[in-house]
Amino acid sequence: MGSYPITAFSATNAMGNTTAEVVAALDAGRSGLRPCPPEFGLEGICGVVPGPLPPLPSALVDYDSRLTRIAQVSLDDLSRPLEAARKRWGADRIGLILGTSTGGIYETERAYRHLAEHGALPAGYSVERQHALHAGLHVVRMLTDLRGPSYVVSTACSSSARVCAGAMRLLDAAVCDAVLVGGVDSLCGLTLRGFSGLEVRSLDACRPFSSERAGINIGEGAAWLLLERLGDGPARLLGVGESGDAYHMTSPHPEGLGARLAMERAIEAGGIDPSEVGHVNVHGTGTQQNDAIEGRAILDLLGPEVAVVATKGYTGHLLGAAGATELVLTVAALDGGFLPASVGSAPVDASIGVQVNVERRDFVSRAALSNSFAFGGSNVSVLLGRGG
Amino acid sequence: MSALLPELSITGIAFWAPGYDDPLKLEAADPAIKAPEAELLPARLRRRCSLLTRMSAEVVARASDQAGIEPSAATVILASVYGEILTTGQLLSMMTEDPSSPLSPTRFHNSVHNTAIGYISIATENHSGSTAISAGSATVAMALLEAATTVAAGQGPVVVAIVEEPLPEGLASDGGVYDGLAVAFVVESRREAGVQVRLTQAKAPEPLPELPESFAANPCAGAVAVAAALLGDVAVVPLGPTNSRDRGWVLEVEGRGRR
Repeated sequence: MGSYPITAFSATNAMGNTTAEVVAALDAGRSGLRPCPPEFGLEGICGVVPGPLPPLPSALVDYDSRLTRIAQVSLDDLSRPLEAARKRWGADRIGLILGTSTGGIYETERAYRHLAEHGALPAGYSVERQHALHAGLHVVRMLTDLRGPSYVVSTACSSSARVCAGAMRLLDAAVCDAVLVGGVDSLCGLTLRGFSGLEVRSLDACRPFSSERAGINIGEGAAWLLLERLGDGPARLLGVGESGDAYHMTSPHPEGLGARLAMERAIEAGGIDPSEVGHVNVHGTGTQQNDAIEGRAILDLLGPEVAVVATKGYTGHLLGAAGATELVLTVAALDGGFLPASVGSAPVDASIGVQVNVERRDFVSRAALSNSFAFGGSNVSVLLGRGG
Repeated sequence: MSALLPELSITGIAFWAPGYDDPLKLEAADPAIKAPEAELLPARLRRRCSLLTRMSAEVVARASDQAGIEPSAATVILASVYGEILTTGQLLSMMTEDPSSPLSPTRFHNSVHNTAIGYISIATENHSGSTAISAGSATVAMALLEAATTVAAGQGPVVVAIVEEPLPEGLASDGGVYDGLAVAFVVESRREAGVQVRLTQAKAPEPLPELPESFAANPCAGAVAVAAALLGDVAVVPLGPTNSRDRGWVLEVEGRGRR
């Protein structure tokens, strides 16, 4: 496996519409969480994209959805690097892999309400152009003019971390010379009420790895990383580890087997020694069980000294977009030479035994892992290195 | 730089749809074929899980048997356009009927695209990096591309399961009415066994023959045509849509081992 420069990145989430706003909020330790929008009829805290979310260009108006509008906003910051990449490699040689779990289900929820009230789907609703996972893919492909292989990965909350594995394989096999990878999910009733049903949704701001943690907040947003065969960038993709727990649909393996395997495989793929990992951006959703088990896997593999950063206190859990979002935050930290504050993590749960970074501090990490774990025991750990 | 995709063998091919279980026997439906047996899954689970998950388990097990591989040691790639859409439809109806209550946790976690992968990995104790993908009309092509690059990365054998269940009633008026179907291919580094293929991009050959009406409109129906072509005598098997220059992904057949 090669290692590839990340030549550009972008993110849109509760911290801001633009990458600059997102990175500034991360640097300042400023959470973007706020009360859930009243339309969902649920108490609690969410990570809502501040907006505005302008409509799509007229040629794509049939694909209008909250998801595609968020995707469009998130691509604004990438127009120059994408233009340079298309010139350098040719649009046919640039792949696109999108991670999403919700697709356009927000629109389908509204369509079902209309169906129940009027006996028919609303005029203009299309399952193929709004609900489908590939609808978002099509819109991104059109907006970016990328013409290489393109597909969606949908493995719930590891979707947009797993996209990096696919991209590495396309680059290693020389099918592509560059791949745009990312994730996008939108808030919707299904995920908010589904996680309520699982009794893991916190009504207050989430507190990953804190002794006072009480569950997750759902967020929305999008994030992208441009991987190229050659070039300079703020960070490099060194390796990806994928694993399956083969244990339970929603509970992690009690000894953290799958989490550990994913991290081990990422480190092995990156060809570095575990001691070179400076920090871990944890999955850290803020539930009792998941944080404790992830902490155990980190302790087993990397020991008690490695720095741990939890970022869901800034954005909420972006589900299908969480992996790419946290990769962007990890790139920003590596590039900026700092460890972000883990917002909400104080007081840290000492029984977990890992060193959670509570206050922002200057820190030079040679390499960092970013973890994403999902329903079905689907685990991904991505190893990033400093650029240059 | 040109692609370095490995020489491959497809060593197992399985197919299931209501009325059909052999891609070379599509002339008439067999009324005895009603539900996938899905013996890979524990009996208690089999009764509770979706048609998509049961169809996936059925073809993954049969294709693996045919190839003589252990499903526990393979990377499994699930490819589907709408995924667990019947379970999703049930949740959407429940939300419409009662707009405030929490949802059934089991139905909720069973609505994710990778549900079948989760259950199959548990049933077979598979710790590999299995995945679930979707790519609209390019789903078959992208699934086989993902399989080829996974084999190239040394993570084979790969079982590709291309599986699509019908749309729920609420969405079928827009998206179409069709039966479910499932096709699995075991993809390995080149061996003497199986159909020896190379995945490449080429000018599109003749389109594959039409399929039975009951599932012809299924967005993954192309996988059945690909299975039939690989088992028949087609030399260049088209996998999906073509670009503006009439080029698309194809499997070039370089040899056919004993079945």
